[in-house]
Amino acid sequence: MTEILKLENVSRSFDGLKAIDGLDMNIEAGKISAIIGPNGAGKTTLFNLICGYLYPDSGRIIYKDKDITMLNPWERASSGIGRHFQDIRVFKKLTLLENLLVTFNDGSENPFKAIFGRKSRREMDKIKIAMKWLDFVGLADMKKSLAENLSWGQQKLLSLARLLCGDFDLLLIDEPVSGVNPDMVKVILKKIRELKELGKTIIAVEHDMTAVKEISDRVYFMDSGRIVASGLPDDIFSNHEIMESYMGLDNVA
Amino acid sequence: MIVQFIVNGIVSGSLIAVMAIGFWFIYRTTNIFHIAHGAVYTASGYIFYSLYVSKGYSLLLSLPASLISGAVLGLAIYFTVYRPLEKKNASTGIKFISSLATYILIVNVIALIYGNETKILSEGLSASISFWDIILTKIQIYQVISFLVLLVLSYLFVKGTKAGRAIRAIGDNSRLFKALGLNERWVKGMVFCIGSAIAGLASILTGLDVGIDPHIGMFAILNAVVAVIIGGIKRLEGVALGAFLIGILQNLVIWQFSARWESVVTFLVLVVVLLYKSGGLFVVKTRVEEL
Amino acid sequence: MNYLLHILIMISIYAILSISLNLPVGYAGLLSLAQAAFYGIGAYAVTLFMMQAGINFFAAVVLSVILSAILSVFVSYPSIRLKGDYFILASLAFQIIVFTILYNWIDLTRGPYGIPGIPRPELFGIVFDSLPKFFALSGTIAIGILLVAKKFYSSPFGLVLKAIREDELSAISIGKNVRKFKVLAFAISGGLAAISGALYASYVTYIDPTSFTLDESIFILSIVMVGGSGNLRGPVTGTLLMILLPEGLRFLGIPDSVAPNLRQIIYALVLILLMRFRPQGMAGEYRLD
Repeated sequence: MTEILKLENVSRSFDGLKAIDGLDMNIEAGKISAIIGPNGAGKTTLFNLICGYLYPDSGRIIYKDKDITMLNPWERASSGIGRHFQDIRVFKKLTLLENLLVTFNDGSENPFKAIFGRKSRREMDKIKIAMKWLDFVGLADMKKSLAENLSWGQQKLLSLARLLCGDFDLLLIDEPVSGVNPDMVKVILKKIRELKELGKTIIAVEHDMTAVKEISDRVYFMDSGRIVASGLPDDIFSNHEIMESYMGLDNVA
Repeated sequence: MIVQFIVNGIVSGSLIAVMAIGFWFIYRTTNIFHIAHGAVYTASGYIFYSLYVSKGYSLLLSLPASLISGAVLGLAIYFTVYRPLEKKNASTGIKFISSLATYILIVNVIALIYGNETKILSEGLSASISFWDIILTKIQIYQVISFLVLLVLSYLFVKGTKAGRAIRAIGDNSRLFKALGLNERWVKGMVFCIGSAIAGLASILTGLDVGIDPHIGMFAILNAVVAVIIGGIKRLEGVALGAFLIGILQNLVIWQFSARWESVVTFLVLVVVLLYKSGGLFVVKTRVEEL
Repeated sequence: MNYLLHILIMISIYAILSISLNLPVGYAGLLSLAQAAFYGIGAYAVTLFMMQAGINFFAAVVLSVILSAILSVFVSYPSIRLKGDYFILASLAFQIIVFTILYNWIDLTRGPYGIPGIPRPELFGIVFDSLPKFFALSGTIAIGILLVAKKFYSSPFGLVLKAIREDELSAISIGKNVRKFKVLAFAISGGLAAISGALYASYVTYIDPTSFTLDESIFILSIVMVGGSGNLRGPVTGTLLMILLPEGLRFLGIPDSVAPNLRQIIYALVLILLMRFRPQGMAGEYRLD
């Protein structure tokens, strides 16, 4: 049972309001953890803190036994922390293939290689890998389409493919199945399970309780900037206190 | 000797402050980087020249007429150039370029009509007063007095009137603005009028001292911008303070080194302040702003 | 014929300048009013290397490019984090500082007196001293740079830049050091501008600071805005339009006293209209909004 991510007493305020309040959290490697909670609980802020788009006012963030609290966001990404955004954020004017090709951080994006490098074989390898992941999410035949021409659900799949291509170990997925029709929900959940089989660790923020019950190994209930309860999905969902405070505060399916 | 230069600094500071206050009204409310303000400055000066010097009308007529013309020009720029861009939600870059292009347009039209040489606005007002080793011309005294009057009036306006509070409310994008019940377009139009009239005042005050040419606007607006940024955008008092800092700094540089290096110092200070305000001079950690 | 060659040479020089500014504007999304500063630094550096140190033109160009690129890194690195208007202001500040130094550091640059007698380029005994020969040189260099730029844009590097301009946060999330890429874009931009400066200096054989003013920076930026940015067609189109326009005026018989002002008025009007109705410029790919 290795711990891949640990947050110790993390706090962050905005204009005097405490968004994250002395939060502690341990995430087990290779498992799917879900974070649930009312709107405004601080879930997306938590993700932003882990990714490095925000820095905590106090506390530590430890990833793979390394203190990353002060690390730049792109350094965190290159060390394996991947992020899927609530508003998806794929590169709209790039093709699907380009969206994946751009995730490679292997030095080929050096400008001088553009003039002098012998690119052909390197490029072919990259394309092969990218196509593999496009295939994994079932979008291979649309490789030349612009990302903006995809449906919302397809863009979510593209975002997942991006995470795979970028070889991230810890995936922070913000609302994987929101705004997506039921058939697509099944596909996405299936893919997430396959991600786990590939050895990825997943933390998902999600409001869809059915989805959460279906795939999570562990559930964290978050409210007012802290983790209020955590445990197995059955335990959390049968806890009437939590469910009432959650349902009471927010209308969620 | 140094006292003379500090006094000169106060005089320049007053002029810069007048221009800066005008720019501030517009920037604080609309968040538009109105570089074309410099063209309004120039245009007002030339309208004054046409009325006061060419046509020989009295000061009592020429001055207000020029200020009103400046206000009208500023208002026209707002409605023809900026308003359409605002409605399209254009980026600051596009607004900036449009403003710059408007400046170039107006200044070159002026050059076409009046020519490129310096025009003298007055013969007589160069009488000077001296006391305690300091020499001041009459017009310079008017410059400082005008600034003081303007500062007080502006302060009262901003703190004391509904429209004044609206300025800050719109600029901060706050919900307070709706509570004030004023029309946004009206308030923005108004600040363009006020700001532009003030620019006209700055121009005429300066012009009566040293004359005008089509290119004075850029220098004036840049100094004003530096003053506003150094002094802080949020508050009027800061703007005035920034203007005096720049005025005195520039004159000190002229005194200690030479007039040639004045711009270098001014703009170095600007860069240092810009960097300092965006998170410190030596920032190692990147902050991701757009979340 | 000479007149035509002159125009072609100026087009090649400005084409390089516009491609150089295309990188920060069309890819990093940062408007810069400092391009004339790097243009000027290139011109003066090459001149001084050739005339004070006796270095061959081509070697001098290499040195100037490196100098300009390093300076560009030094200046852009802290400024990158400034937002929108403030970045433009910082670039404007840099432009004015450089100009003032060029104008007043008389010991080094001879200030307003300028530096006359700049030699034409020489390589293996060939001196590019006639107009056709110089055009052959500048045209070749311009086309070469165009081809290199094309390679940049279609390379992984170019793809990263496109991604950054598309969605910076998303680019960070896949591990891109956005700051590094923006600074690189500026470095290349500074280097290319220096090449233009070198060609200009060696062509006109006399330089003084008045060729490298804020007005010139505005002109270069206008080329990129009018033609469009984010691809290759944009800057080239912009260069052709903005250079040929004043020549067109001349054919209309507009008197020389009026022409410069009229030209500026037309540029300004075109710019205002484009920003309003077609912000991506005539042939550009990237819209600033």
